[in-house]
Amino acid sequence: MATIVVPSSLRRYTDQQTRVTVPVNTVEEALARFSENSADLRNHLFSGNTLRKFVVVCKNGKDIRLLDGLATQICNDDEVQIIASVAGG
Amino acid sequence: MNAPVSMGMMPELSDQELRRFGRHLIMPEFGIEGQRALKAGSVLLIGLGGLGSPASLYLAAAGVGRIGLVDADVVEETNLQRQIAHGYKVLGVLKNASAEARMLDLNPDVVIERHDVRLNIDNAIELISQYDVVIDGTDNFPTRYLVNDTCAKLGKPNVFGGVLRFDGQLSVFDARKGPCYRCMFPEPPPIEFAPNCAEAGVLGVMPGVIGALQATEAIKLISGIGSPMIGRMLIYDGLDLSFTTVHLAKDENCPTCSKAPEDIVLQETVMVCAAPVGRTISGEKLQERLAAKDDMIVVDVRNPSEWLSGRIVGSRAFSKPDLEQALDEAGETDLPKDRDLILVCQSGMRSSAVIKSLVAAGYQPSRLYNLDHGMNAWAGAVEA
Repeated sequence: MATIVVPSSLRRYTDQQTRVTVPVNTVEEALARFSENSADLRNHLFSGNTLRKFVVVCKNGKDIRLLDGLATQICNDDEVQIIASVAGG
Repeated sequence: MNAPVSMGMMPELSDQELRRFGRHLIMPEFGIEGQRALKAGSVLLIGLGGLGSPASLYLAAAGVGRIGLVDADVVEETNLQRQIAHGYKVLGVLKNASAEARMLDLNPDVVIERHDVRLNIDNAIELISQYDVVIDGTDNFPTRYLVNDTCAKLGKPNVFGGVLRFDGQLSVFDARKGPCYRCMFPEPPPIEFAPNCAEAGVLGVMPGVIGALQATEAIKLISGIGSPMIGRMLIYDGLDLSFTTVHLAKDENCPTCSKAPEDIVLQETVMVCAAPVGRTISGEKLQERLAAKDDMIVVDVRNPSEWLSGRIVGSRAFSKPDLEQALDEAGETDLPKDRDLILVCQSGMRSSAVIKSLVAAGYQPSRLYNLDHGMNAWAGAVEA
């Protein structure tokens, strides 16, 4: 079980929910479960099975590239944050 | 405490400056040395819009000695919802000129150097090399990558801020000490995923918050106090009113900062649409495969009325809206994954989008073919 923290740019896919709880064991499973109901959302996050290069995913505030990438293990109370680059100024 | 960015001769403070900055000087962590460091320091502020408005005013008010302004735009009415350095009295005036007047009113001693140009690949090194710290207050991805790459090449700290809708981001990218912008986001999003503030909107106060934080980071860097946001990014969620800090990774294979500075080559960043996925098949090749009775299904994703008016012989109608609805609701369609699918529409655009959706739903891109230019270029047999 983990909580995905949804940025406002993706909340149209979650009925404006800021947090979504998913019963999974890895970041990859969390994102798969999170995007399973929307091809658009999946396409926003992934190119094939690779995380898109303008999206950063963190576990408890740490870039998963500093951990085990998409295979990073998650358990209860862990938070998975999705960060999409924004360029507005 | 960090070493001040500028180690040049520290200027003395005048009596007027001692009075004006009394509330800085009273803080022991900052004190007269911090104030003198600010007076000796310089900041290049790129963009005098939503982020640059508060940043410019606070930098001038705080006593940064020399501030460069890079912007070529004029003030428009739609700017005033968030760009608070400007106002109705200066509509049509260069933003640099408008900001300069406000900054000098706050602090007549600040030296302002206006660069009424857009930052580009030809002037970036010359402009950025003249300053200690850079603040990225731009509003588009290509300029942000140019700022990042130039700062990495020249060894300058880049105080990054970005806003959209109710989201704000802040970091300090200093390739000498931590990750750069490309370590975090190696490439800009495709155009369809990269709306700007004009397209997606922004709550006016969002750049106010982030721009003020950018000024804070620049002041810390110059005066040498505190811990700059190097290797970290602040995520500000205005709807939740939450501030979250995430720790960023330096990419050993970063296309920019993994190189020696002299080997970093500035390049134009071109925004593109998402790369087409799947394969393309020409009309002639499809005719050959139909004649050979290859094992495949031709799927026409046009509307029923288009399909009825003329279609490839043997094609199956499965309109794009129906197909996407099936994927949205069930995550799959009854189209087999183990056969070649030829997707057809009138011009090739809708079928290309459908292929992306199918790939996202788990179909193998190698099994998906887009009929090049669709029915517009189809010269084979048609039934109606």
